Amino acid sequence: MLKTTDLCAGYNMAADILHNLNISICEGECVAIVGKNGAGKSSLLLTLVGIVAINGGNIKVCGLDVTKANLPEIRKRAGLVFQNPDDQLFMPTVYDDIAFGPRNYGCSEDIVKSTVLEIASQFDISELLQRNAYRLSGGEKRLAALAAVLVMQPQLLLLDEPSSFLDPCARRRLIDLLRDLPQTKLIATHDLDLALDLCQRVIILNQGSIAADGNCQELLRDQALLNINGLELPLSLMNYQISNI
Amino acid sequence: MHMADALLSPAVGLTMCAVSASACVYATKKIKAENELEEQQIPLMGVGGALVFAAQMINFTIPLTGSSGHIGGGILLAVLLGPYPSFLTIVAVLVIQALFFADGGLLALGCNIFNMGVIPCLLIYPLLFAPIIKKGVNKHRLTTAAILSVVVSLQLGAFSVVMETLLSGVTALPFGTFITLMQPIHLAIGIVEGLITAAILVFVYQMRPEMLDIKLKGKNCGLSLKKVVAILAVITVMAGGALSLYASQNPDGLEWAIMGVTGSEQLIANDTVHKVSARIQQITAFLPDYSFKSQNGGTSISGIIGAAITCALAGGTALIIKHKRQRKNQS
Amino acid sequence: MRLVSGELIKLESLAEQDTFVHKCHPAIKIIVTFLFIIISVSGGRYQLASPIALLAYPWLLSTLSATPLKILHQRFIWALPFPVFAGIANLIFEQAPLYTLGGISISYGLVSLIVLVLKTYLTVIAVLLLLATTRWQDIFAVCERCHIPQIFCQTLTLIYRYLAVLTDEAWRMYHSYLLRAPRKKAIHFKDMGTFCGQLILRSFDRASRLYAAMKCRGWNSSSSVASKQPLVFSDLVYLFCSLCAVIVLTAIF
Repeated sequence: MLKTTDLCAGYNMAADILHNLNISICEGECVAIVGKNGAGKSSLLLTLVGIVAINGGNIKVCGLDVTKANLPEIRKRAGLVFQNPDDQLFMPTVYDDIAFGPRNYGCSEDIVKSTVLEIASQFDISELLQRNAYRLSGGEKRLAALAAVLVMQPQLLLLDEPSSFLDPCARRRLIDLLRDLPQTKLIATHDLDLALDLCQRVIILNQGSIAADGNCQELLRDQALLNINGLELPLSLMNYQISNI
Repeated sequence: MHMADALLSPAVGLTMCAVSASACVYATKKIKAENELEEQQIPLMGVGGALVFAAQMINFTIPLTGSSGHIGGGILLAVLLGPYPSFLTIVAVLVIQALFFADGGLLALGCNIFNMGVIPCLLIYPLLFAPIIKKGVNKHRLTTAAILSVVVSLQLGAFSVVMETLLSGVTALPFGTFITLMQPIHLAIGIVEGLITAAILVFVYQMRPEMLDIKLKGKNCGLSLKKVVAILAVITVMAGGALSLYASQNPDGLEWAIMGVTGSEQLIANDTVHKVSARIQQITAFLPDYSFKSQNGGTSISGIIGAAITCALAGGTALIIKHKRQRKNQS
Repeated sequence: MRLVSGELIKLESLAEQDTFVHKCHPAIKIIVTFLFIIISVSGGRYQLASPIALLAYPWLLSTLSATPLKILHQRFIWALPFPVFAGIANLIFEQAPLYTLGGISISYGLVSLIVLVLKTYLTVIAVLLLLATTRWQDIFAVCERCHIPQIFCQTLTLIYRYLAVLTDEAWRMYHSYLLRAPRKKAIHFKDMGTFCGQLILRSFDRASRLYAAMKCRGWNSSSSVASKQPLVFSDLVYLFCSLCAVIVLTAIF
């Protein structure tokens, strides 16, 4: 599904942000990428869809090499949900925003309409369709942004900080929703509890290199490893420890 | 210094609309021709335009006085985005201000685009700012260029506001008085805005020199003198033509509009309209001494009363509809 | 500063109503509004009758479209200063009497002042009524349909969208500044460069993220951003009726 070999990438040729990454993700996996601020999580996601330039190595996404010619197809197969929904929802109404992708890929207006309505009812946001993006709450914005990406039926879903700006209820709802999605998921997050909840596997990044890659339950319990990489134990595991004492 | 619709005659308003519209077409073509990354410009222009709004919301204190002011932003955008994209952005900002904030009006859009868009972005930036900065960017040149450009833009803008208002014939202010009121005020505003623009540009230059460098070193700043003369000539001819038309006939708005559509003046010789109106007047005249136009240039008193009655009728109808709707809602 | 988004929301929610006027095709409403403005301003400096008669249009339209005039009137006051300034000058320079009513003479200047205020009222209210009855995305769609270049339509849409986002950001920055500068009423002149500069850097970063987000969903500069509404017969009827009404009114007065 996704394979990077010796990947180096950065916003300009001189300074790489990512160094020699070798990641391989199989179909149906749900993988978390964690690391402190500036570790390269967001840059990795942007590199996968060809927005941050590749300076060395190569990437295969959904069976396609990330090259300029392949980008339109890759962006259709791999959907990226941005950290801040305000960056992503730029159309007049939620409806237009969800319809934005399908329209760009040349779907007829009838098909656009039926797919938008379908995804809206799946996400339970049908009543928001005619609203303006800046009049939505944080949780509603997040759902709309997710719907706008999923409407293109990507095989691979790239999520950047999906739980930011959410209240506990909205966060829980989002986690349940993500768990039910069949797509392969790559989630960059600081929310280690979310990673524990959703993912089987976790990749820890530190200064653009892989510090660890393995089973979520094991790695996120390893306090020493987490501390070296500027992270802390997930809250749910802390409670577990306290009650054990 | 937004012009308002009410201060314009249709002749001046529509002429300026035509001038500004041609400037828009020119700028769009230029962006397409010069910029392979046209699409990358669009988000920048969108956010840049929103930025102008946001910047106008910020009040700052003017030293020595207790009052506060805010900034305009034509030159600032021109430096950040390049002359043509910044011009289109200003146009979009003005359209939104006219439509959503009642700042300026639809008819006055042409004037406002010219005063606040064409002048700073298409004239002053390439002719004044770019030459000063040409030798290389540094703090001093940026400051000088910014202050000079903003002051000159505002002076020219204020001057054209005066001209547009006077040519429209809505005010009895003599030219001399008007100009001695407007220019000094705008000189003060210009100096303050110029200083702030300079401070902003210096800050951006220190933090991210590449943001300014690309724009300033690019080919697209600096118009050739020939082109500027040609543009000015076209504007002058158009304005002159419109003005002479205005002076010779002083056609009213409707006639002007019809003339624009049909392209012929014969169709709507003043007589026709007057005949039609005289007929309607015969049918509807219920005030005995009603006269179409009074001798002294104003409407006769009975005319005003007639108008007031029309207005009252409309108001009455409005009230009835409102009342009915309320009853409908209640039931 | 919050006012901006607040004001927008007020007008916007009005535009979402469902009356005959709201359903009318946006292009027709724009044409009628534009013609109305031209007609409003085309009367002479002392022609008091035509602006008074034209008051019928905004009053009728606001009732038909269930738009409370009160909101529009608040906005009208903002637009007053400059026309009033020009009008007051007339008051001073033209003191010859035009009318005499029961011994009180009314000067040319006063009449022209009243005419100017009325014209301002008509033109401002006409535009606001257009906005209160038409969703802005529909207006932008008309622009696109009239073959106004994509680059301009998309800029327009984006500015409108990011208006609220950036004003909110500026609002937060502004207040965080004031909270740490208790004796100041506004931002100090010498901090203005840094303050606005910061805002610019943040905004341009946002623009590049926005560009990325648009690219990710297959956008290119020729993509259409608006959905279209077909022109129906009743729209033409509305255009025709408004035109007739306005022509008759101007012909009489």
